[in-house]
Amino acid sequence: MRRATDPIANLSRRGFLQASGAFAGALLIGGPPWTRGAIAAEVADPASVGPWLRVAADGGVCVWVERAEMGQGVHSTLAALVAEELEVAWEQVTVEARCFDGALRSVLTGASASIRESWLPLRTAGAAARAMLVTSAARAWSLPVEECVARDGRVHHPPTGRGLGYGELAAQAAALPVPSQVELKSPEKFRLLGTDLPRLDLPDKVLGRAIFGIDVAVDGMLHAAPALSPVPGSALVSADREAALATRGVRALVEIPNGLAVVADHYWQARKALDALAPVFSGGEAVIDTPAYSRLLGEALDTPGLVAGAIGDPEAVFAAATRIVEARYEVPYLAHATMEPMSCTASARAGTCEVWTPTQAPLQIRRDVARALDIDPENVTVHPTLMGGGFGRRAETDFAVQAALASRNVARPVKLIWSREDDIRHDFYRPACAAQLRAALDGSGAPQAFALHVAGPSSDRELPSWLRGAITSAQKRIGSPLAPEGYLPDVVWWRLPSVARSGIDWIVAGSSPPLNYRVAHQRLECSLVENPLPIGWWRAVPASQNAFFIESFVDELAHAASRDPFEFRRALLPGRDRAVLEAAAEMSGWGRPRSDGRSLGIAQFAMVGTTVCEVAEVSVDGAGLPTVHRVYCAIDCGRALSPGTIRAQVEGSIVFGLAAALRGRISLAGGRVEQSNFHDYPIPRMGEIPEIEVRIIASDADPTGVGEPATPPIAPAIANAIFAATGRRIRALPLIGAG
Amino acid sequence: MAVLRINGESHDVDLPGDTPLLWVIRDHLGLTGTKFGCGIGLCGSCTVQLDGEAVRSCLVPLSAVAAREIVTIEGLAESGDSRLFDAWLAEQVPQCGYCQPGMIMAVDSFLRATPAPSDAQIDASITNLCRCGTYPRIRRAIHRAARSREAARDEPGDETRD
Repeated sequence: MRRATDPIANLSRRGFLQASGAFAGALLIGGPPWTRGAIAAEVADPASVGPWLRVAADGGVCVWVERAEMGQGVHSTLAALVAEELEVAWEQVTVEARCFDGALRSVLTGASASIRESWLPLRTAGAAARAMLVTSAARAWSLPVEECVARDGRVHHPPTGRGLGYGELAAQAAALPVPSQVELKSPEKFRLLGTDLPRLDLPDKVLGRAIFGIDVAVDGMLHAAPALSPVPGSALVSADREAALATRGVRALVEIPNGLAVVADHYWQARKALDALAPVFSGGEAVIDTPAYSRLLGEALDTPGLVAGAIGDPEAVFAAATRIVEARYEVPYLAHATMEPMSCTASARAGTCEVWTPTQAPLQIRRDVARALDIDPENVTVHPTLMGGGFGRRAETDFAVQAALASRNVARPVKLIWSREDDIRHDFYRPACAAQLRAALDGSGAPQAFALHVAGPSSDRELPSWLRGAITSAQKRIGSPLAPEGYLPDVVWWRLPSVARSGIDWIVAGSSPPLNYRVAHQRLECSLVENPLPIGWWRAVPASQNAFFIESFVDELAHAASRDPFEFRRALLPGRDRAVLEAAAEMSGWGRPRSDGRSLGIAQFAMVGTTVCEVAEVSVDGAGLPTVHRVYCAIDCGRALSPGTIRAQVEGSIVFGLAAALRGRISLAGGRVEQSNFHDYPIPRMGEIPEIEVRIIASDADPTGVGEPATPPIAPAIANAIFAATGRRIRALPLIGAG
Repeated sequence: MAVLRINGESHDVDLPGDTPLLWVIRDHLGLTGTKFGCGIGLCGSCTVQLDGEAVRSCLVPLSAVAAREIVTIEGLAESGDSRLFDAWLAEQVPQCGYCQPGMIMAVDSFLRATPAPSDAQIDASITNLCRCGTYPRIRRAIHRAARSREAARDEPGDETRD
């Protein structure tokens, strides 16, 4: 049963919501900053309860959010969840980012989870505040609560025409107990949700007033630029420290993990001093160059991997099959290349540290800065700022640790800014992966069994590369984790490195079963092949490679069955996903004869509860270069709370995936990343962007994620269109090649 | 000592002549709407206007701008054509917003030279990068701004910056 249909939310359980009078004359409502899904929250510690919203004495409503605004528009939609139930006008609402002081818990923004996880808690908080305001008005008038209604920031009593503004009521309301039960609005009565509200963050962004991490200014602040080792783990063997220190404005050189930071009065002075420093690094991790690593991935696919999951009995079906189709695919490492390079301002003094930084993971920043400075995490305060793109890169903390160390060394606040070259060469990359796909077809060409085997690098960071490599290759040989669950006592087992516990890496392999198609027998295998380049979350994470593998291969299956790629998929998809497929096909005029020399390719994928289907309209010139003219996209993401924001996320996700599909490639040579800036890690410009049409499937299911799911289908949709145009099946990305 | 004319005001700046205008604007004048993105003139996040022409300030040395009129996003927001900003908000263009000031500076300069641009002209002239992929909305906002500037020109008495 879906919780959204349950109109009553139990607030009193475990002292969940608390009102507070900490702001004079204001009503504050709060809850634990971390809740999974609904109200219930396993978090029972009242100390973790921080305010979510304030109704001030002037009637203004401030919504505090811990989710990071990285462009996805989530601050506005979260505020709308509160405003909807609170019954205030959108113009009365402001939103502020906050990281709860003192509480050692905080939210990580990722996995397109913000709305899914806030949908009930924030509405409940708004409804509780509304109920308290209505009650206090009824008491002031000595009238029955049932006769009072809230609307547009006021409580009205229609029979007598009386009215009181929320600001006038806030102080009295704050003295009331938080109701143990509130009724949430039925979605048919929504006035704000489901409409295109103007985003609250855009005016400042347009006028150049928005403060990003790089814009933070703190009194007495110095500026830093890092010299980072080009190979992970290499040592600084020489540097002209004297020349650097003699450069105008330079204050200090500070050792940081993997390099040195130059600290100067101004940023450009620090950058210039890096030239004088002329650092030389040597040694480091044995990073495997791209051609050799590609061979190793291929070899890993030649022998069985560790089984990550299976449904049905794929082995038996394959053994009995009369027709098996197989193909091998490959994708490169990718960088995030957020528009704002990594940056952090830190002020470390007397056993404390204050950090201002764009981050998806304030709690991790707090932990890692505390560890680097050897201080208590309680003494690290994180001020999240707006961020110039995240896409998973800002779930990392390396830049913050560097700034904190630099600040402690010079006993002044320091703002550290990376160059674009630092950013491209020192990312936590989308893993390079190769995949073997197999399907057993029946006489009509319908797949009876499907197997996906993905090989790629481990994302583990607990172990040194040599040990991780030894464990993963041993596991590959024996076909099982070194320490499978159930053989050792739990307390011991949980202390083992996660690599040894499972041998499966979700970032590489994705989850099982791999298909949303109705195929009864499926298997997912994973082979980890060591390469000590850091791996991280890249928008959509495993789906960014798996959708390309799977949806290109499904196209191959359709071709093998002599079936239309749309009809072939349609016959295999369950109802909701089929409706998305049909919508995109219908938008594109699928099946209609064309005379414009353009071809269509279709691909669909489901993740984070959302299903997306994209049709790419492509032409291929005489040299074999594709042009993507249009993309038709249908998305089912449950109830559309902010249609305009959903469309923006879909458009942006498609462009993000298009950039990777066409030219995205990080390659390794001499143990180093070869790319450095937008000339060799290009992202598309205006003239390369297709027209994008988006259709949001109407739904009254609970809202699901929209920040990522439209990225994965675009690469296979384009590749499938190229196949339709040329008969050439592309099994490796990028489609065009870098640069 | 150089005298900079920025957003209609003069500033004395005592810095080496090879300091990029970008960092003069950001660190010495505290105008942070102009962003650092790539440092080699490829992304356009640092776009400002020099005597009305859009330039990438990470490539412009301080020594090259003496006696020239510099306008940053703060200056354009203060005294520029509000129709451009209105169009940007009407189309809800920004996502992360980091590239948008540079984008707007480039588009403002472009629209003064090309008041009624075609899509091909936009593609050829607006070469700034946006990692969030707001391009479809940027295109719509440019056309919207062009239309409203056109309409304003037809109404006597309604002055634009041009």
